[in-house]
Amino acid sequence: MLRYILKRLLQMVPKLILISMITFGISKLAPGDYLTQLENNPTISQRQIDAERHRLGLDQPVAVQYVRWAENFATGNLGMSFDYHERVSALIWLRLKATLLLGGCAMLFTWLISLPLGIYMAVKQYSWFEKIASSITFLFLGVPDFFLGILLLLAAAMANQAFHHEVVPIGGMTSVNFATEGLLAKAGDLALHLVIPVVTVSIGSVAILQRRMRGNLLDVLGEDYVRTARAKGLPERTVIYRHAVRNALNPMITLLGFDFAALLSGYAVIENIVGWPGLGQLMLDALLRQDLNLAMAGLMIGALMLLMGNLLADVLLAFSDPRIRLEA
Amino acid sequence: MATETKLPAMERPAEELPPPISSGRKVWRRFRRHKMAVFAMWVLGVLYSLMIFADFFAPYTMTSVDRTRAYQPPAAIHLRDTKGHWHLPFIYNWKETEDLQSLFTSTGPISGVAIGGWHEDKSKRYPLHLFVQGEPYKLWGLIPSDIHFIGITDPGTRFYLLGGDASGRDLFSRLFFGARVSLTVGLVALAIVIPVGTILGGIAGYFGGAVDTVLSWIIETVLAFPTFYLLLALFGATYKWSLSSTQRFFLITILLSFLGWAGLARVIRGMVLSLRSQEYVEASRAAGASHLWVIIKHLIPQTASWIVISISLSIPGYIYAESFLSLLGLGVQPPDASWGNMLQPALNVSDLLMHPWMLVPGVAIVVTTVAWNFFGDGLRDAFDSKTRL
Repeated sequence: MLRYILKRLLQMVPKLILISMITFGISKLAPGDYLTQLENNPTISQRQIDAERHRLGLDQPVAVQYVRWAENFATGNLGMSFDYHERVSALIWLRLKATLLLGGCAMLFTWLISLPLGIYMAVKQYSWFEKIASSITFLFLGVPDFFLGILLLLAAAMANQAFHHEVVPIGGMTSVNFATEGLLAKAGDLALHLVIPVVTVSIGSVAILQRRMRGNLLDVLGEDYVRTARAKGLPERTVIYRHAVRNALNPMITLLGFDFAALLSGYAVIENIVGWPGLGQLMLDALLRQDLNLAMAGLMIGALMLLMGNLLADVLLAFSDPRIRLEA
Repeated sequence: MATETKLPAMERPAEELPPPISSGRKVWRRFRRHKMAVFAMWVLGVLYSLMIFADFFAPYTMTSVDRTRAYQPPAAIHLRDTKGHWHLPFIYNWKETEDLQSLFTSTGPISGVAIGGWHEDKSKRYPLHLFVQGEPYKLWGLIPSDIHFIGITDPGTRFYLLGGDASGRDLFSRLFFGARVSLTVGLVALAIVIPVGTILGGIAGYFGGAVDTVLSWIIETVLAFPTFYLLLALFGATYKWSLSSTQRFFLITILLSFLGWAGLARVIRGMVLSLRSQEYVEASRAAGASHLWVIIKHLIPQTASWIVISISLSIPGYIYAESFLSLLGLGVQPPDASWGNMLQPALNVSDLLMHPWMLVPGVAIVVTTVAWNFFGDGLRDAFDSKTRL
């Protein structure tokens, strides 16, 4: 197992190098560079801009720029952000925390709802509850998350207007007076700000996971050993929760890994819509303003998370299913 | 289960062989049993026909603008005038209210939401006509005409069925033109994805060995790109290019298909890998068929049903990707319409409270996505031989 993981980790290196080359190339497709936008500013002379361009190395050929960036990246130096005049690592860490907080809460919320719901819907197949819930989840599969986010924001705004005070905060991560509050009030404030982003990113996944769980359990309930368990007179509860559910959960564990993989990339859209100050928002700004170092670092972290998530999914599957052996 | 893919990625590989294609009639009969799928098919049919004849069905052209009518509320269609007389459907002119009193008392379609101080000027009726002469257009860029399906003849007001947008253009008309982008982006992207994905996947699975190793590595690397960030990078780099609207549309589809082919190739590779050891493939080879012939003639048709299903289920992914890119301002650029960029004003919540009709393009996206999902689901059930039992 350890050898397998090591091998997979080593295989990631050439992939990451290729990804970095391609993304670096892509970011150079845009006309001009970060300093182009300053050229319209009458208080900055062309000489100053040229000097700055030279200092940042933006006047070098793309290949030279890439090698310089890669050398620094490999030694752990992510460089400075052009726009924020701060170390990229510090900026990314700050935003990564916000994204991970959102992602963690969303995952918890999703799994806590979808697993019991899926089990219940499989057990109560063909009941009216199952039919209604099925249609609702199918409908939610068709609602794009960005539109759901907009609808929730609108609902919150209407509620706030109707009650004449802020029931659910719109956008941002903390209130203005966050820093001066006590620990408990801080947590409450954060939780309130999390409501809309978490619900927005979770609803779609709840619909998917619930369908998966239901499907898995229905498959398992048709197996011979379930019939055997029933035939020997076990109570239905024991049959379902001890025999069936445990086996139906197995394939779900793999999905945890994919969830992890999608953590950065998957929430970026929503962060931009509901105004959650996470990595996705930072990345959009960085790419649009051609803040090269910041954009590259973000892209590389996203790619790394994706590769690690896929590895995690394989390893989790091997752990949960003894029939699977990972070959080194 | 394939409806889950939100970004342009194909379904995860199916472990078992594709179901054998049964005769078209059997498939159709099984499909018809799926009521929602049939209904979805009709919805899609209507949507696509409306899109094809967008110039005719839209009361105004895409860029037709009256700046004084920015955020004009949706037209209220009346049958009775102020004196209680009945008429054929007509509308009144919306006028912006000057006095503040009515600004706070007038309410919009959602109760409690002020509609920004507009009121109907009931002094003059503007009857609605079918097949009315309006702004000239060229259908499909070829046939010049000025007949619109519905509209008013009097230039005294404008018939904005779903209200005006931020620049004073007709939201309803732009919905038709936006559909041109949003409804076709998936189809055009798939026209690139399917040949590339099936051929590369087929080659990798069929030949195995070094070819397979190299191609699989490329496929895995493309799949390892963080999709959203890569889309952002690609579109962030290209949105400043000055392109015509057609060029930009094709740029968008090409970029999206660049990400989509790998998922399909991986599945096809897996299928072909297991198919190529079948006896009929060996027989064909023994009879002297070339490799290309075997792949195209024997192997790819076997994967056809899977491809058809995955097409219909992956189209929502392309619609989604195009909409959010345009929504973030990276895709289709105004004044060209796409459902995504028409939704942009809705990002400002306090604005949206005043003009809730700006949500309509989002509703259109939802309807299309749900319809494609049901249609694809029905197709899958129809093709799946297991359900016959």
